Amino acid sequence: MIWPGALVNCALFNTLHKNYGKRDRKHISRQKFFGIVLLCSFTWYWLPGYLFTALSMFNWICWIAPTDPTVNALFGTSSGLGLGILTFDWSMVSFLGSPLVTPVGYHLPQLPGSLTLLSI
Amino acid sequence: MVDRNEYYRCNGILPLDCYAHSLLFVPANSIIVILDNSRVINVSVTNTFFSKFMPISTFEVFDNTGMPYNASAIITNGEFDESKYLAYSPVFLPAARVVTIGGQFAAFTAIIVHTFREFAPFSLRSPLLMTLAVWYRRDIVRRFRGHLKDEPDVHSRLMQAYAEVPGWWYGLLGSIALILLISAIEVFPTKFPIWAALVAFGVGTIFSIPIAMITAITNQQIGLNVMAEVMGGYLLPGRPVANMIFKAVLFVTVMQAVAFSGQLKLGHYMKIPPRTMFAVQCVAVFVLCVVATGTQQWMFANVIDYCSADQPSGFICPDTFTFATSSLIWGGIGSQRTFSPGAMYVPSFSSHLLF
Repeated sequence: MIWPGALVNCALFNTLHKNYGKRDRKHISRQKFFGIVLLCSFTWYWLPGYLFTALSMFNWICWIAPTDPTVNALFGTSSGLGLGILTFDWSMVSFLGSPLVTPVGYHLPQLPGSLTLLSI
Repeated sequence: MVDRNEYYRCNGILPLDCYAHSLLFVPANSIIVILDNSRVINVSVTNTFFSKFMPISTFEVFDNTGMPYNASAIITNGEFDESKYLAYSPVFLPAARVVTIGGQFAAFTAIIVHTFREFAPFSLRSPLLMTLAVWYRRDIVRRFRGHLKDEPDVHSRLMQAYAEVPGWWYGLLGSIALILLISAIEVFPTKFPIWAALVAFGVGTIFSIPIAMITAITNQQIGLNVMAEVMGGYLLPGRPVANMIFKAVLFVTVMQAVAFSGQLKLGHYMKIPPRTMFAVQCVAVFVLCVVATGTQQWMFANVIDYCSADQPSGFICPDTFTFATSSLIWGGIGSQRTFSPGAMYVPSFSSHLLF
């Protein structure tokens, strides 16, 4: 039992503290890189989170036929099965905790399930 | 950047897991994933449980006219009113919700079988269970008896330099919390008996072990909220507020225990002394209690129309709303009228027999 969630934090702390106080050559410092990424993610979130919320659930199939019940049942996100949806909002992807944390061995069993459903 | 499988998981194929933290991620149960998905479509297409009259997957539950169920119509002074219920309507669940609840029932029994299988009576040890079960029982017993010295890895060897937290620290802290809980439910008019608090606490304690193990291996948390609602509905019929507290105590016990062990593991990896970790957690919880309660009080006092459906700044509290409505429904109408033999949703309940 290795707690994948704890490993992510460990990796972050280790990375940030590895060269603490030393000067890095040939690349920007780790702290600076972290700061830039943080700033970008903060800035980006204003777009799907506030300015253009349709980016969160980019439900283009429902936009083609907004009044068709079958289309909405299959492709709608809020009240349908949500097939083939697209999102530009990381907070939607990591709704149940970040997917990058979960080991790939526990992702893979979901694949046959999804494919079987698609073929029905 | 987006992992493709994962992307389907949360926004695509399986929206019901996103809503209910269902069982679909228990390792070795991938077959159930397939079954569950086709069952949503099956239930919907065949109009089982009248689900054609409702959206296929939504949070709300419905009455016999196809409108969202008005839970306050069956309540008098915070208690379930049978005459009002008979005059109004039984409760109808959308297809995805039925299957999700069935899934949670299945998960509930599955995790017991999965972890404590050796305690099961002989009749349950069928070949099917043998293939499904992973035997963790010996592992649990060994960890409880064992010591850090028995662990061969580098982290454990390094951590031996620090003093362990004695067991009675946890015992003391737990007793203080339990006393606070009991006095809170006694001081306020909750109609929640002390024995129910102890039952919820006990069930939560037992279930934190398997759920923490599953989280530690797969990083997926199995939600017990539906199970807690139904269990509370059987134990305390007709008392919505008591049902809500039962659910909160059981659920929060499990969630906090799991989160706490995860953080101790982080401290283990980062070589933080266990006693420091313990102290940090206590201080953080204390600060959090004060800040969270203060913020809540401030918002109730200062935000106009807080938690009403047309709040101008969007403070419509959907989470709290669902939490309260489902308690009204399971605690008020009660599990008896929904899941017991003779009621409509028996097939959903019986899905726990899968294991």
